[in-house]
Amino acid sequence: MASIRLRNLQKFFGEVKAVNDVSMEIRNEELVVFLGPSGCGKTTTLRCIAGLEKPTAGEVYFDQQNVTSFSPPDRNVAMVFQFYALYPHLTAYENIAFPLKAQRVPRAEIREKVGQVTKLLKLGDSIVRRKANRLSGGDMQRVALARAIVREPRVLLLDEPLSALDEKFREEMRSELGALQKKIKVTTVYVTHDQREAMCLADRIVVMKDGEIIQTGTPRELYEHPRNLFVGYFIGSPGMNFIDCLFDRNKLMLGQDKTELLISEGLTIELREYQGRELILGIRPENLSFLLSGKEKGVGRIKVKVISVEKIGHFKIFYFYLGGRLFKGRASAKENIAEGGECSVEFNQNRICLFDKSSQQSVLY
Amino acid sequence: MNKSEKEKMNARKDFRREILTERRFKILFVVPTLAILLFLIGYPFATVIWSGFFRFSLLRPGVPKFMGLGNYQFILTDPLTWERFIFTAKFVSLSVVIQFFLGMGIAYLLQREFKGRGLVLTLVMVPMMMCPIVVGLSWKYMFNTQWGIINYLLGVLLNTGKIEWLGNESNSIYAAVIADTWMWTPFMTLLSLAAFSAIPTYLYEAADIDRASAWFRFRHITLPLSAPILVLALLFRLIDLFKAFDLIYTLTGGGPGSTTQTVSFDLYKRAFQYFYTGEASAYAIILLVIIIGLSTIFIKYLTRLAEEQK
Amino acid sequence: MVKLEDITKNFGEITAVRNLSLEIKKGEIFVLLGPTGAGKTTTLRIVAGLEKPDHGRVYMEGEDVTARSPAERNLAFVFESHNLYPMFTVYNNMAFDLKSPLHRLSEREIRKKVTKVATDLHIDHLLDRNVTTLSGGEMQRTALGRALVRIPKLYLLDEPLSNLDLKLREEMRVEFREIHKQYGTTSFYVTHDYVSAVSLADRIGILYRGELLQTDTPEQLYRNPQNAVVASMMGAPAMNFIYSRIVEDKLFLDLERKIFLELTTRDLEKIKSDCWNDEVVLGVWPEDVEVITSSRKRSLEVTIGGVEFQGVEILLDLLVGESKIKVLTSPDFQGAPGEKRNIFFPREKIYFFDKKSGRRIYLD
Repeated sequence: MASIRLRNLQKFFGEVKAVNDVSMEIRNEELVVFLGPSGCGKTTTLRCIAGLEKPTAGEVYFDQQNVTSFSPPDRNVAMVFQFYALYPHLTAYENIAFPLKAQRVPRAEIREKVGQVTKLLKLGDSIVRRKANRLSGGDMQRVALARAIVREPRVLLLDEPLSALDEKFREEMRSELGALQKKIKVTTVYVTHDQREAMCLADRIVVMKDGEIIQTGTPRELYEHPRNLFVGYFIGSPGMNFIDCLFDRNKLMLGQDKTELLISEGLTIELREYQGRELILGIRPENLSFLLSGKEKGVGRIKVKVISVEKIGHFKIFYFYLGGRLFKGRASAKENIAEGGECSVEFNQNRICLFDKSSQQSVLY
Repeated sequence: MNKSEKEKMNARKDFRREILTERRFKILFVVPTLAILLFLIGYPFATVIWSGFFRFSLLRPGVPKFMGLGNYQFILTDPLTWERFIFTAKFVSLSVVIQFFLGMGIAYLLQREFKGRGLVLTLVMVPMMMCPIVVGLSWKYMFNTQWGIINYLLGVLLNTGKIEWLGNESNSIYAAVIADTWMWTPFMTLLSLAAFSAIPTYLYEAADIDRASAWFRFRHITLPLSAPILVLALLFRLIDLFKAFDLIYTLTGGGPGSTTQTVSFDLYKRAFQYFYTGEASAYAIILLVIIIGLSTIFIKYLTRLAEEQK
Repeated sequence: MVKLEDITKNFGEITAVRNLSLEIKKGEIFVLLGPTGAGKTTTLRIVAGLEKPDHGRVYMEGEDVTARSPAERNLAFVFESHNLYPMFTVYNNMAFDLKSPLHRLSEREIRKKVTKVATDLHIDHLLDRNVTTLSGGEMQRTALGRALVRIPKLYLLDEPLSNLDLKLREEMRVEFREIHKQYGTTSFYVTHDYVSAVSLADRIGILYRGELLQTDTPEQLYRNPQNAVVASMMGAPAMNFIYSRIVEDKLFLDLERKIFLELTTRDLEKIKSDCWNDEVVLGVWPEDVEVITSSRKRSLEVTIGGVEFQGVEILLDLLVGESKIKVLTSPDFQGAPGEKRNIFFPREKIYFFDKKSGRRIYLD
């Protein structure tokens, strides 16, 4: 077990700044998820922690010890790769035993340890004896995990471990992974582009973009109080709605045609200093309530025309234009929303996010 | 075109499709080539088999005399034949073993990227690309007892006397092995490199994370995963060496006397020096059977390896 | 517009598709939904002409095209791996088919078409870029553009979005629907992803082990699945299934027969008559399970197994006897694993399926 500290980590590949000044701390036994789109630097950061990449600048500390110059064998970390990286010619058992064998652990001890781990990960006898290249995706993933934890490493690193699996299986493995981590209590760093995984597993999420950390926080913090436009955009499915707006006394002027939206007193007070400033409004689809036509009087209400409706099981996503932008609202399946019909939409005042247009940072908190 | 014309065209197309199914169409394309190949290869091959049962010579006139398996009997009971086989076996095994380990070793060293790698690789490949006759003759001069450069360098570096290479019965085999190794090790190197680079980097990264030493990695990852290609390379070299002719012909001429005569060289003599055509044909068939036998064993082993790796 | 009649296709001993009949109406997006290996790609390939069915016929616009090659059927494909020509620019990839002498179009006409489609797909600024330099989303858009410039009879799509990032997938889905409406095309889309299927489709066909189980609108499939397999594929999270048994006029939900569901005599009789061996599978959507504050008539006591914050709602793992069920509830829910709660299944929201055949049991 170890705490991890990254200090001003930088990694350049020629001209490309893959990781640009990343600093953060990961507590002992914590599960931290690095979340971001492809190319944001999350995998490179992970590989720097593993020792597979040498940072161009900055340091990596495990429990106050500077391990930046240590090679992977010396760091005692375990890693689950995106495509499992199982030794294809070895059986599942031999794969899991590999790190122990490489360290010349006596055979009896190997058998015991591998036995413990296969039990924990529910790997049956028939699977354990099979060659690695004959296993199904899900089993390969479990074997990769087993191989990682059999060594009782200080740190467990996972690089998009579920991305190669079928959707249904992914959900199952997600909860199993979370339960496993809580059980064996190892400091874990998990990299993914799937925000649902991050929300489900993380104690804390680190959102990255273009090599930089945008925001760090618990899933709920990031979901309800995004401090940057990108966080609001990336987290949550379907994503947040965004539109340019101007704050004017007690209302917001949305989009190109400056549609007026009345806002609450509380919000008005908070936005005092931003009179006339160019802002971006963000609001999640579930915070846009669907009201029947004719109810557009009042704070936070606007009359709109529904363009289309997606019915997804127990809820509906309805699309409408506002200020020239396509908006998504979320309503329960019971609501009768007609395509092409008019209705009113109410903005939940407590859930409106406002970002400065140039810096993309939140102005409310 | 209007509807009825289109319908007719489609009907005609459908009819054509029934007669000339896709399968028959494919076969039609292959038949001419197959026929030519059959003629060019099959006919001479059949002739050789046929000749093996007769006693005759292409030079001398007269009707060939049917001998049944007489030729085969003669060859297989001739002690000289066995001498040649033993020599060939010695030559082949020595060469193969040295080339295998040397080639693999060089490939291992050249795996990673380094400055000038491209140039080094090209230089390493050069011997293999040279004309065998040129190589044979060059080494012949280099191995010359009196003024050959080999003896000169050995004298300077190790202070040895003038070693008889090509004229000495025991040493001539070593000369042949050295010359062949110089020329063909690059082949092993090339194939080993290909095998090594086919192994995905992430396996080595995983091994790194698993704290495996360099030797552990080589023994448990590199070797097993490159085994199929390495075995294939071994097979190629074995067959090639078994057929060794051009190098022997230019380097030693089969000498001194007939001590460095490989089986191919022997065959050459019987066929084109003495013109014992019938006998040579039988000999050729014997060699063919041996090569097929060896190859089959190897290929069986290879297929098994490949199946395991799938 | 496209009709498949009693199609069967075998590969050696395996029957990939069995007695499949379906119809795709002009202008609609028809989605074939099923798990991996269900036979979706095989069906697509038969419609395309890349495979010949062992039995059955394929009709397009009334004509029997079963024997025709793909080129003659005038289709456009978008594959899972986009299959772009790597040495060409975006423009050349999209224009490639149009340049064929079959179309007889002038250079200017081609440029006009390509530019229009590229603009609609927001890749017009990439036209001169080599496709290998593009991101995944841009490549997928180019693949889509290549199909759209041609105005074929039918678009065939085989999981074209599965390789994209989640966010990109959402955006592409909306764009695809817009483009589809705009161009008035007909599409046959094959996927294993429930969310993609449901957000794009006018109608969905559920394919399972080579058989078409049910074809209907997404909403109808959700509300009225005829089969437990169909129900298991609709909905994310998936429907909860609890194996139950009728013993002595009570429906027990657990092996120890401590937890039972109260049903009217009439309901019980109907279920008993339609199921085999009194064994029935109880199905209920996670969103339909009500979490209540205190126990009341017909409520069940459960233990919390896990609490997962999902932003717009919270997903609970609850233990009912030996069965685990998932329940969606409001994001303000307070509770921790190990605590007990009460839940309630509204009668009209419970689905009953015969355990042996999976067939739906309808109550009056």
